[in-house]
Amino acid sequence: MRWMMSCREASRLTTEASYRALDPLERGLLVFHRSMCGNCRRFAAQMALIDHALRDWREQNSGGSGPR
Amino acid sequence: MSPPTDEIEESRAYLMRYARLQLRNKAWAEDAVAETLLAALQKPDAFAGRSNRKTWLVGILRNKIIDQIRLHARECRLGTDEDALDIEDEVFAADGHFSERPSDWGRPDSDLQQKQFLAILEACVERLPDQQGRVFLMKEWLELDGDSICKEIGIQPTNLWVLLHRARLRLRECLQQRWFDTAEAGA
Repeated sequence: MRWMMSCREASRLTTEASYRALDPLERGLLVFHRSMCGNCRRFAAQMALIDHALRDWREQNSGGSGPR
Repeated sequence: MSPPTDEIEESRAYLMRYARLQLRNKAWAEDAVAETLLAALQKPDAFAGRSNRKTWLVGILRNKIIDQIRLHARECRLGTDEDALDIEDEVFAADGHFSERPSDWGRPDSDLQQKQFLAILEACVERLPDQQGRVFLMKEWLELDGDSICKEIGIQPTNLWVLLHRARLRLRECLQQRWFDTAEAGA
């Protein structure tokens, strides 16, 4: 993998980061990419908002707080 | 003493909403809900007396939904042609950059906005292609881990990531159109 991955690749890692712990190399590459790329910073903020809303939605709709 | 019919009907209505959202098949959803109510009504006192009836029923429903997914694993796995228009190719140009600059969403700031946002989010989840929607909600609503999802419907982990990623990109597009663009137009 090149040091600077594409936004397309960075977005995949952004999804995976919502569901699993990235390994140190992946995390490093993602942080590096975002430090250089405003689009991916915005994309990450959008996805964080979606994750936050999904948590609220789940709390409302599991009839209580489920395990997380 | 059996619970009043209208209480059962009220429960059936919200259970159906969840079951259809998750299973994306009316007949499977009806089976899951019927089995849930049947199990619950075997304890009529528990049904009538519970203050947290909804939590209790939704808990039973989750298990019945997983039973239905197991029963129909093959159908849940198929349906790959639904995503003929690859969302990744829409969002990203051939060189791997965003085709359109992502906009600054900010945050819904009042309680009312937050409530409306969640309603639109749910509508967007409902509009996901079936296979993506099922896998996405197995993760987000049933709260199954990745290994369990792969096992239940018989897909590979790489396939799971692709489905989850596409679902999230689609949600993002839908929210952009139905929430953020609309809010700007109205401002």
